[in-house]
Order: sequence, then structure tokens, then C-alpha cells
Amino acid sequence: MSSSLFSGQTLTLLRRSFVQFYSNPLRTLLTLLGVVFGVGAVVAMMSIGEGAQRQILERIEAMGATSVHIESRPVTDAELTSIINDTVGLSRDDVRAIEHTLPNIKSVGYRVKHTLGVTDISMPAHEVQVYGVSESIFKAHALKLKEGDTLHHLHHRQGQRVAVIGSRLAQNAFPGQNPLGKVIRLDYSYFTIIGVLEDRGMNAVKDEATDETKNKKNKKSKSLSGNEEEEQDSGSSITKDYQDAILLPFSTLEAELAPARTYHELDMISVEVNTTAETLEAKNQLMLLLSKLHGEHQDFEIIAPEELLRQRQETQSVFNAVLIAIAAISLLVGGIGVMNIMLANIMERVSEIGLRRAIGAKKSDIRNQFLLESISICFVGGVLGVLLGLLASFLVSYFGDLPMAFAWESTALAFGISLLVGVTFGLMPAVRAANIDPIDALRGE
Amino acid sequence: MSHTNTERECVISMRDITRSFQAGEVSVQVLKGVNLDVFAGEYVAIMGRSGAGKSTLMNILGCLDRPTSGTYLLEGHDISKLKDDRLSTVRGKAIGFVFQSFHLLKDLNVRENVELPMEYQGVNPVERKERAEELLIRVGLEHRLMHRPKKLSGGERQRVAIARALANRPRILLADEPTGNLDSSARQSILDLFDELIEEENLTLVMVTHDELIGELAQRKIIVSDGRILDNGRKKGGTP
Repeated sequence: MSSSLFSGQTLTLLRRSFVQFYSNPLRTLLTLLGVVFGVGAVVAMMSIGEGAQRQILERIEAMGATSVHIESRPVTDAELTSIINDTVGLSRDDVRAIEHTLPNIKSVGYRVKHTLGVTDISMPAHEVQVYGVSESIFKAHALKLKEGDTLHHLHHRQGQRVAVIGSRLAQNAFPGQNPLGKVIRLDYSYFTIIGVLEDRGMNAVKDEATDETKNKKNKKSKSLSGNEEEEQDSGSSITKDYQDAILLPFSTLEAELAPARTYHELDMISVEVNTTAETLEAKNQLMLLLSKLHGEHQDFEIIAPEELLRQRQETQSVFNAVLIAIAAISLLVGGIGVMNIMLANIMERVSEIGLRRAIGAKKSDIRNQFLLESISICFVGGVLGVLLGLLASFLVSYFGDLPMAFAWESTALAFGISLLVGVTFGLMPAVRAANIDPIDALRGE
Repeated sequence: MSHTNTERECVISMRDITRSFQAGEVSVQVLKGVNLDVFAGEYVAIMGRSGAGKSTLMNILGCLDRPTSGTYLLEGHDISKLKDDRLSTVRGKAIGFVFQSFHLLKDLNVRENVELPMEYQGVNPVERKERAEELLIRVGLEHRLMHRPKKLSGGERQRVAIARALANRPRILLADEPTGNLDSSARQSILDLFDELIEEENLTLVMVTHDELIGELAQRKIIVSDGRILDNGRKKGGTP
């Protein structure tokens, strides 16, 4: 037999294996629902999982995979009275202590955050986040410049009135213009813009979208605390983008804007080590050191990206376990449904089986025919399931604000699973059909 | 054809065929030693009362069932001890079945129904299609190729079934009450078709029937009674 005629035979068989869909469409589709939901759950799980995974990796990259971040923790007034004698909050003393104590560190960056009014640029918002940053913060937070210059050592040393601004702020404040060299006024001082930050890839775009919706909501209520809110839900401001921010040299901010001293002098210290593996060790050392410096009061929080990844993966695995359970139950129910429909189907087609046997079909031909039918049913279930899964993961990511990424592997796996269900639950009915006695079958029993 | 009566090939040869069925504790012997020879080109009617063992004999003749004891040579090959798969192949190739209730598959069109036996013998699709069309032209249904069986009259359906029975060029046709579900004009045209086929293709036709008239039309009338052949229809005593 040549291959072409073999494929001809196969084609006929395949085409006929869909017989259930035109002879009993409704029944077949209803039976399929279990398989559809099962496969859908698998696809949704994998697309969402894949999306979350990518998001985490992007974030870690954006945070600097080799950095450990120490964030100031807000302290309530009640707490303050009890700890004020032991600690002064996160400060440059901590930075110096870290620099002098910890071995194997590459750099220590720090920053302070203030919300200030901008008076002379046409901002959609009239408040802006201003960060006083040390030189090393650019490296520790993996900030890159789209254009212009970074804040140099000299800018810091001399307290120069220069600023680097976020890309979206640049776009909004100076649409269609080159922001470099423009002067902005903050409080009563003027600052020259010397650089614009780069956007942070896909993830940044996603964050931008959510920021915007939040900003819209907030604008209505006349408060622009959207970013802070986000810090609260994500549990970390280190992932924050600097898109709407103005970055000044730390010393400049202190000298020119003279912000009122708050409990924490700094809102974040970022320590860069040599490898990602060292971050956990560094975290432990920092914890020891800072706890001592802060009189054992936890007015700070230490975050290692590596750890963050692990936490996210744990959440993810809970989510996955739930979906796997749903998928397994659906597939089991779906499989039983398929088995049921195949048994009913065989009962209805006993005389066909008898006829086929009489005109030369072997037992194996009958078995394969029905097996192929159940596989085809499940294949259609698989196709619908993949579509459902993609739709579900799209909806989840759209309304649930979770990232999703289409995973080819998930589609392949889903098809594999649906075919496996077809074989597993189709085998018993198919074997039963094959073993029907052709004489009884022809007599119509 | 070139066969003379004395040299005619024996296509079916049964010796001491018995068939017993287990009914609970007791074993019921339905066939009690059947000896039967059918020669190529013969038109044989098998008659007898219900329960006489006609159907059982027919099933064994058609290789749907195996005898409990005895030998059955089909075209010279002993098939009484063949395995199920081999038996299926023999059935598909050597025998064409025609049933009272036609047994056409409702989801396939007329041509596909005729192609079906060829699929199981691995005939390629192009040949299959050609052969099916040729056969349907032969039985006068060239205008019905793409119709579903539901759209056909009883007589037309039986013609499709006969075309299907001929698909793999068997030398033996087994017909079980082929006119039982037909009105008298359709019945006549089917009987005429059988006559033509026997004549033209040197087919052997074995037909189970209750119809005395058909019994008279056949070259031989075999009467089965109580699991034995009462009369093998041979004028000169016949071969043992």
C-alpha cells in the first residue's frame, strides 16, 4: 500500500469518526462539557501561570536581581512614643553602617520620597513624586536613561539643581518637545532637566495601564495617592516605576526643598551584591545589623527579589492546585460522560456493528472505529476547551488584573489530555462493541 | 461457462456439522450432523420451519459462527477452526450477505454503503469508488449514488445491499429472506436481479426463505428439519 492511499483510508475513517456530531449533535455537545471545562481549566491555569511567571521575572529584573531592598515601614503615632528612644528610623547612618559592616557588597543606594506641588508645568496632576536619590540608586533599581544624562557624583557633591524625570511625566508635561534643558519649578526652586528615564518594557506598559485607571479614579476624588495605594496592595514600592517621578540628587533635595523631617530620613536603602545567590545571605546580615541599630524595632522591611519570587510561586502553586483539582474532576466527569455516550451509542448501533462484522470487519476494526469516535469527540472537546481556557484567562487577566501569556505548551498539553481522556474512557465501550456477537447484533439484540 | 455438471467446483462442502448451544445446565443440539455440498453457479433455497435450524446453518455457512464439530470446506479451505480475525477476512472476501432488513448504514450515502466491505479489505479509495459506481450501475441505481438510504424505496435499498454484497467479488451470495420486506413488484425485480447475476457472474446463491414460490424457482430446494437436512434437493440422490 502506498502512503497516499493509506492516508485516504485514514481520512475516511477520521471523517466518519465525527458521525456523532451530525447524528446526535446536542447530546454529544452536552456530554463534552466536562472535557471542555477540564481542558479549559488546564489552559487557563497554564496561561495565567506563565503570565505570572514572566511578570515576576520581569519585575525581578527591573528591581535588579542582585539587590536587596530595605524599605521604611510606616510607624503609627502610638508606636512612635514607645520606640522613639531606641531608633530614629531609616537614615544615612544605616547606610554608612551597612557600607562599613557588610562584606561583599558592590554598592549601597538610598532615596527619600516627597510629594510636592509643581507650579509651572502643565501637569495633568499638580502633585508629583519627588525622590532625592543617591548616585547608586540608578544601578540598584536598574534605571536606564532614554535620553540625556544621569545624576553624577558632582551633581550630588555640589548640590546642583538638576533633575532626571520619568518618561511619562516627560511626555505629559512636554508633549512633542525635548524636555532636556527645560526648567521646572518645585516649591521656590528651579531645576534643569538633564535626563529622561527609559520605560521598563512590557511590564511597565501593563503597570501604566493600571496606574492610569487608578489615577482616573483618584482624580475624581481629588487625591493623587494612587501610587501609594499600589504600594500597599503589591506590598512593595521597590517595583514602582519612576514614570511619573522627578529624581533629584539627595543633597539637592535636602538643601533646596528642605522638607520637614519625618520619622524616617530615607524611604529606601538598596544594597547591591555580586550575585543573586548572595541576596539571601545579605538579607540575613542586614536584618541582624539593622535590628541592632534600630533597637530591635522593626520599623523597616527587607525584601530580596529572590524571596519575592518564591512567595509568588507559592501563591501560584496554591492557585495551580485548585485549578488542577478542577481540571481533574472535570476531566473525570467528562470522561465518564464520554464513556456513557459511547455505551449508549453502541447500544443504538448494534445492528451496524453486526453488519460491519458480517461484511468483513475484524473485532479490532470495530474497536478502533469506536475508539476513534471517542477520541474525536474528546478532540472537539479539547478544541472548545482551549478556546474556553483562553477566554477565561483573558477575562481573569482583564478583570482580575493578572498578567497572562499564551503558552503553546498548554495547548499541546490540553490536546494531549483530551486525547488521553478519549482513549481511556473510550476503550471499555470500544472493546465491548468489538466483542458483540455479530449474529445477535444482526438479529437486532 | 465452461463448467460441466460433473466437473463443477464444490464451493461449499459440509460434513457432519453439529452445533450445540449451552442453555443453562443443558446443552441443546440445534444442528445434528449436516452434510451439504453446493456447487459453483448453483441457486439453492434453504427452507424449513422456524426452529428447524435454518438460521444456525446459515450462520455457519456465512462464517459468522463455527460448528461444534464437523468440517466445513469453503472453496476448498477448512474454515471450521479458523481464528476470529481470519474468519472475518474470509467472510469479507468470499461471501456476500443480503439481509431481509437490508442493513444499510443510515449515515452513509448509497455509494459509501457499497464501498464499506472494500474498506475492510484495504482497497484504495479511488478503486473503491469506481467499483461501487460500477456495481450501482449494474443494479440500476446510477441516479441514486449520493442519496441516503432513507430516501430510497425498499426495492432500491435491497439493490444497494446486493451491490454491497458483490463489492469484494465473492463467489457466494447468502441471502436471508431477501424479499421478506418487499412488496410483490419489488420482490419480483429483486428475484430477476438474482437470476441475472447467477447467470452473468457464475455466482452461487444460497437463500433462506419461507416463500414456497422462491423455493420452486431455485435449482435446488433444501429442507431443514429438526437439525438435519431432510431433502437436499438432488434429483439423483445427490452426493453424500
